[in-house]
Amino acid sequence: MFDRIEDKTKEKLLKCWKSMSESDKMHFINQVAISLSVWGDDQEGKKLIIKVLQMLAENGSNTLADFGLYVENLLDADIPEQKKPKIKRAALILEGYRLKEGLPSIPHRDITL
Amino acid sequence: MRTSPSSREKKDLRESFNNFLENVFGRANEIIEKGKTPRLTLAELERLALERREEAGEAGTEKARVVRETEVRPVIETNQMEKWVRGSLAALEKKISPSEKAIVSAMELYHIFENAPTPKDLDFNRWIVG
Repeated sequence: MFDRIEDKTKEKLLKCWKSMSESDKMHFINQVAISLSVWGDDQEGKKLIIKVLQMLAENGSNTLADFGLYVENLLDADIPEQKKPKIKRAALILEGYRLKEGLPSIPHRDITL
Repeated sequence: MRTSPSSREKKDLRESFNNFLENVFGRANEIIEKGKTPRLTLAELERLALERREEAGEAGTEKARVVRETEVRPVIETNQMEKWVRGSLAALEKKISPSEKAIVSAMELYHIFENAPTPKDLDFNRWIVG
């Protein structure tokens, strides 16, 4: 009913997860918890989390710890207007979290040398 | 009045730039040879470049801090992860501390990922419905 993520995207997400350090997993969970706190942890809020994961996988990030870098992209997605101020606030808080924790300001993506 | 750099200055600049490239790609090759990874991420390249700048005293401390490696933790039990999550979130400023419900939901998502042997087992519907 809600799960519209393609198998291919799920495959990318699980591949990322399996290669992530415990530290990166913790940062991912922390960013999810912060986001849900800001925009609500109801079904709509959880759907936004999945939407961010979808964008992350489609952009080629290879760690879910990049989560916070994609939250602002929700503003360009088909999201109800009343949710947007909370998404903006979550994006700012996550930016602060990433600065505090020394997380990169650009996504982790593979390039071929 | 001088309008362009002298040939000596041009040579110095070229040498300096070549040295920079040699250092960056030298480090890249070291990593590849060690077998850590066959490819480099953009973040890794950014870190290498910033390290180089830092050594040369050119990097602002704030920017260098942004890309500094975070602590690498060993593989752990799932209840240990919850302790780390709660501990690190508790260390945040009070105004951005996540709610208990949000932490529990986030941990549920962690368990879904951790216990999914195949992509088909990533049952996000179950998590959304709660």
